[in-house]
Amino acid sequence: MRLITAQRLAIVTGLIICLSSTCIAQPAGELSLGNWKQASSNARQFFVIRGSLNRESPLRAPVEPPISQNEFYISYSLSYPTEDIDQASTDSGEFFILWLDDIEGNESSAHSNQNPNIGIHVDTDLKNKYMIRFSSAKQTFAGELIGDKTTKLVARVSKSKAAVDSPFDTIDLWTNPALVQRDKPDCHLTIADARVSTIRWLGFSTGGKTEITDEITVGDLQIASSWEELFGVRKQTQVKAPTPLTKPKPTISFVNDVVPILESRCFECHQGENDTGLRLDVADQVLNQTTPFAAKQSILIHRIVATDDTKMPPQGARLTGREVEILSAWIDEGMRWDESLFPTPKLTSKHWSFQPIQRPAIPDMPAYGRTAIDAFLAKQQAELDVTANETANMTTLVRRIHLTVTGLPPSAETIQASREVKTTNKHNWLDQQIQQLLQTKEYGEHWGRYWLDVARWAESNGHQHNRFRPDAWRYRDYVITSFTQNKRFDQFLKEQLAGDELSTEDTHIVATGFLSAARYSGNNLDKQIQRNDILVDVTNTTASAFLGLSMECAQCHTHKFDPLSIRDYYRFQAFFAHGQPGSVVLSKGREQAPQLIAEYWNIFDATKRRVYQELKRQGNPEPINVAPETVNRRITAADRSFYNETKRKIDKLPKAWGWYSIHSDYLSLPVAPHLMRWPLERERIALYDKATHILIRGDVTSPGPEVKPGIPSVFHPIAIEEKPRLTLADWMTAPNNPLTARVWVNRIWQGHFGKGIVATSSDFGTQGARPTNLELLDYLASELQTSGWNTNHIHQLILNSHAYRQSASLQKAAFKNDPTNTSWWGWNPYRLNSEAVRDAILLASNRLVSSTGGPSQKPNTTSRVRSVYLEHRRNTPIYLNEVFDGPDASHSCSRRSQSISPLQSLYLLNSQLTNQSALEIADAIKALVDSPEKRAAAAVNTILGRDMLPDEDVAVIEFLKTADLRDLCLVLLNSNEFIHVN
Amino acid sequence: MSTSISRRAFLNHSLVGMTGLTSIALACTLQPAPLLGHHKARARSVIFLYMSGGPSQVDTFDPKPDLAKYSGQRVPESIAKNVPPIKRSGLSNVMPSHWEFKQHGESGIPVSALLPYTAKHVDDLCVIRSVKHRNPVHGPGECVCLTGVASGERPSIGAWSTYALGTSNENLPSFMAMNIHSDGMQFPQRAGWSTGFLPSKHQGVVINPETGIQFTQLPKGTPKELREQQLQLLEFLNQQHRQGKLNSDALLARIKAYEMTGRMQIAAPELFDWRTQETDTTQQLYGIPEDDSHDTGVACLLGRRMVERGVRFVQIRVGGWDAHGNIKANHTRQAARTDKPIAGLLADLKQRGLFESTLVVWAGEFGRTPTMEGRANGRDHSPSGYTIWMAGGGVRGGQIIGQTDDLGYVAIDRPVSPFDYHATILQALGVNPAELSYNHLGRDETPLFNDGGVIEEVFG
Repeated sequence: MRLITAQRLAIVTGLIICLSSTCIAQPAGELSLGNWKQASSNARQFFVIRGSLNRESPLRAPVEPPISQNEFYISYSLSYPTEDIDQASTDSGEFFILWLDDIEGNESSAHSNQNPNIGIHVDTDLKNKYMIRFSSAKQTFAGELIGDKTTKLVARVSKSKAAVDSPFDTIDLWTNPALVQRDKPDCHLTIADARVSTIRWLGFSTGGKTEITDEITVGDLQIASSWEELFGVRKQTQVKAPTPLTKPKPTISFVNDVVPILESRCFECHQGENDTGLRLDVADQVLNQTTPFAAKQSILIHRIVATDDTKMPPQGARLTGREVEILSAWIDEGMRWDESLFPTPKLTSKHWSFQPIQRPAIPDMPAYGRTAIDAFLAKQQAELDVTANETANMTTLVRRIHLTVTGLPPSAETIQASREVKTTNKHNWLDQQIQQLLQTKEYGEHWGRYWLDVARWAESNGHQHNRFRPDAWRYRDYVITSFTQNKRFDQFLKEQLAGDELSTEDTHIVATGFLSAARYSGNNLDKQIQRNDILVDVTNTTASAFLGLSMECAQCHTHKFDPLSIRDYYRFQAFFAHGQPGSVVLSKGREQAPQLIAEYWNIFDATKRRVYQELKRQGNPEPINVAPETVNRRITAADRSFYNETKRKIDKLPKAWGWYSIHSDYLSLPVAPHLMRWPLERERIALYDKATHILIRGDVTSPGPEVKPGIPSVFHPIAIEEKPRLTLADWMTAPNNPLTARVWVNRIWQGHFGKGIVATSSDFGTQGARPTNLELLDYLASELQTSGWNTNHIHQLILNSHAYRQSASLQKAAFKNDPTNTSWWGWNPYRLNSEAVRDAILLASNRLVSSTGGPSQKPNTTSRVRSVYLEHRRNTPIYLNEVFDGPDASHSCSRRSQSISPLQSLYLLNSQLTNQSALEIADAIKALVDSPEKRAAAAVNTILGRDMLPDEDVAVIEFLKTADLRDLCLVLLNSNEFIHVN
Repeated sequence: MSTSISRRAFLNHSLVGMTGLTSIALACTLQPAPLLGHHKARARSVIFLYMSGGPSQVDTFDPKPDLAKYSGQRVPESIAKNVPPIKRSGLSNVMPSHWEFKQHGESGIPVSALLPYTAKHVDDLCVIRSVKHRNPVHGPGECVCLTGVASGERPSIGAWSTYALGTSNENLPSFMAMNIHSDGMQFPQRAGWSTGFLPSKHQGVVINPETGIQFTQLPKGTPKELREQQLQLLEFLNQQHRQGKLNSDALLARIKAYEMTGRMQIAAPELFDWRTQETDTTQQLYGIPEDDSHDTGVACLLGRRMVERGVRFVQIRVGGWDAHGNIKANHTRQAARTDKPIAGLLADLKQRGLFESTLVVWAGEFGRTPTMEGRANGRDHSPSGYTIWMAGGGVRGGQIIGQTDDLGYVAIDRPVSPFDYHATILQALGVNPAELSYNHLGRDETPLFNDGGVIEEVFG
């Protein structure tokens, strides 16, 4: 099929109409325009056309080369002032057409003799409508003509019989279509006796119904061979190989010129595994020694020309001038390498976390406790000669379980119920409690928050503009729901990494909020840098969140410690390179969205072109930067109200801040405009060209060799299939993946104990901490996999164990033999996270309000919902997060710090939150009981969930002699006991 | 602390994570760290004047007569070829400076007529004209300026400084940040005062110069005596709770934090009470009575009061330098906001004998292009060669380090990275930046990352 590239009807000086690459000039004198005129005050390419109450067809242009292919698309924009539109009666109404014909005709030719017409006409119901036809009075109508609105008409003109000499007999018409509406034209017409098989001319005509005062504006004429081309996207099947960078023509042959030098002068020491630590037969390592395209900055060149003790080779003759020249030229030409000759060796590692998960036998330990976990720990404790603590008391355990499972202290009723449990039934009762708690929304909220830390989720872009992301909350709700419903972890992972590749279901699209949570700076220039920053963020976060790999070092150089090369890094990044974050419309809005979005861009683009041309005419040099805000301001008065209305409607559409790529089903996924300085691509076609290159020193302006998606070479290679991120997710959750299950069970352990079996829960590499008990970790990982990635199963194994239920007593003997508690012989109290501090204070005063999610609440002194539902913007965290180590969401947070500072104390002592709570708790108690003793006991019960201890009551009663009950409540809210998991 | 522990071992040891059980860690975090540097400290405190938006080097401290010669023309190829391929970096339409440069002081360092007050102190300034990095965007650029990396994930230089040396006044936060004139498009980047992977106690406390430290006011109806009683009861309960428990050191540390709270509640209001404590002459010196310079003047005066009281690191961020259009009006306004207060700060530090012990740094996130951006008489962002200055704290004033090309576009001699000036700040504080490390996720992280080194000439 012959492509006719999109051309614009362009008007240049002297009124020449140009419609093809070979422009046919028509001197102005030969073209009578009557009262039609070219718009001169405006740079957009359009005509203002007036009627004459007669057929007028002065605007004609040859189609060069002529079109006879089976189908093509033609579009133009049209605007009719409201005041000019007739209230039609039988003999009035409006008329205007774009005609396509094989003959030129003259000023008054009708061009409605079985040839395609696309325009407007009055319908039998007396409404003026958009229409198509082949001859007079045989119109097929689309929607009603709306005044004062720039409308884009798109027609597909085709032949029902495919042959050069068969006629164009079919027209489909769309008004303001969106990309996804290809199969939904507004109207369709096929006739039997069409005449024209080759389109050689086109033009605009008015008619008898067009009044002299009518002022019709047309422009932006485009012809395209396909629907996709009209929209500037490539068909999904046409994935083009990325364009190679333009590089100087090589003068140096790697094999013939470079290899002989390396072999004779370098390989004696630097080939194969060697003692120097440097291999010059491996491309990645050579890259570390060179700067492609800049020999002068290359260490390799410095060393071979050096004369001091850094010289290479260290002994023997220096390299000849010619040899240095060859190596320099080779580097300057981009350091070509032949992988087949010198393949990158497969990295191997004996490091524990890269070895397969071996399900260990449960050690045969007599009377080891409650679950297999205790058997593994008992074995370790025996080796260290320590014994585990006794079981903690009931009140402590009830509070501990509620805090680590739900992030909230237990209710008074639960505490009361726990008091009535018989000692012999204690553990069974707690097991049941746990089972129930794991089904609650409160559990989802608390554990969802941990995952949001890992996902560095926030509701603003970060960086200098830090714009709000109004739809980001859906991902928060998705995460909470996933925990509440105990979603299989492999499914949870898959949805987040590749939801858009899985399906267009809302859940899946929302889940990609994991990828799109990346920060970006909004800047209309330097887009390459900013786009790269997003990919770096996504790469690092994905690797650390699921695999526990800290890949960021390999961004600039092959990892010094872990078996990760710079090539591995960029191969991993390449999984994400063809996608980007965006405001993806969800299913309920997808019917409506395409039209609205198209209408929005239609006006936006026209305005932008106008502003651009104005600036250019004023003499601004390229590149001219027209910021979206400027465009927004400069919408014409005529378009303004419609534009605002469209924008409002788009704002109301259900959307997710998600991720989409060339691998998602783009025909079904409309992406809403996002009015901001936009470092990303708007046209999806551009995403096809995002090749991934190794970036020298991580610098986006220094691209090295191109790479394709792939997993780190230390793992058994996998074939990357049509859906690359899904392939990645499948690999991560395959039974033989050594990392994913270990990393997840360790995070669960950390969530309960405050610290993981591997202390560095996002770094399982050689520089991370070693597991304190590898068998235990592997047992849990294997349990996760065999239970069908059942997170709650792991929770229960942990929560039902003696290890979890033991007291926090400091045994001197155990402390002596295992001072850092690596064998978990006692409970280590730790402080509540910032959210739990606030939630617990609100709950104690009965002020916490339940929420079902939805858009976040503004964090202010009147907000009562759990902290996870407060607006979480980057750069401006709520004060509690600021002082109590809340996550700043600039990067993945694997574990909160537990800092201690006087600012925390100041807040807890003096803030409105604690003082108001103290007052309300006191008031409630005062209304119920009278004596100071009873009131004090009630305060301790309400806030700490236990009875007053014998040593305390004297001091407390003494205090109440001069102070009010609310002062006591404030003290209790400040106490270590209150803000720790004991 | 025994001196037989190597200093590096001490620095590592004394600040390991707070959740560990090692008692030495917690014992040390409770105390004001001694001035434990690697060499004799020149400075005890730092005042970092961060000029947000990017002041133009060729209109302030880096005169380029060739701008007039090439006015309106394209940047000559000899210079253009070294300009990094950043879209920002326009090469057409060279624009001369609106301000005349004159040599000042004995050193004869040229300063433009834009900054007449600062110019009087030129013999105290070490002007570095060759700072460069690769990021031309405000947010990431601000992170580069203050943390060294565009992502802002690493600790800010203020956090490194307090991590290294602790505070010498335990009644006040050791790192305080003030954000002045944060209007316009460039919101302050939290990374600039964050701790990255360092313990969050080293984070800068953001201060509103008018209202001081948050939550230092006692709640209504709580007299001092009652607060004393509350704190006593609280300590009693906390001690009870702590007895015989694991992790009791952290629990003890929290008890100590409450003791510090009481002192901070007295020290903080005193610090911010400059209106009654400072004379009219002093206030005038900082330009406080004038509308334009009031805000920066108050911040600079507070900066002096903070370092006087032993605060380690003071960061004053003055927004508004982003002169894309009409640089003449923009920089004139910015000079009115900052010139007098900054000169006043230098003079005041001197007259109070604080100059030698206080390092003052003036820097933006980048400079600006020698060319006009569009037709708007402004300049675009340019990180390839721009000027910062340092003064006090052992710095040899009256010298210029580094050089840009003839149009002031690219650093061509002695290029300096943000990591380099961070290293230099630590060096001034008596800390060897190569030996300062923190073990994060198994890696010994240093403030130099993989890059950077002390700019020795600054002190030479």
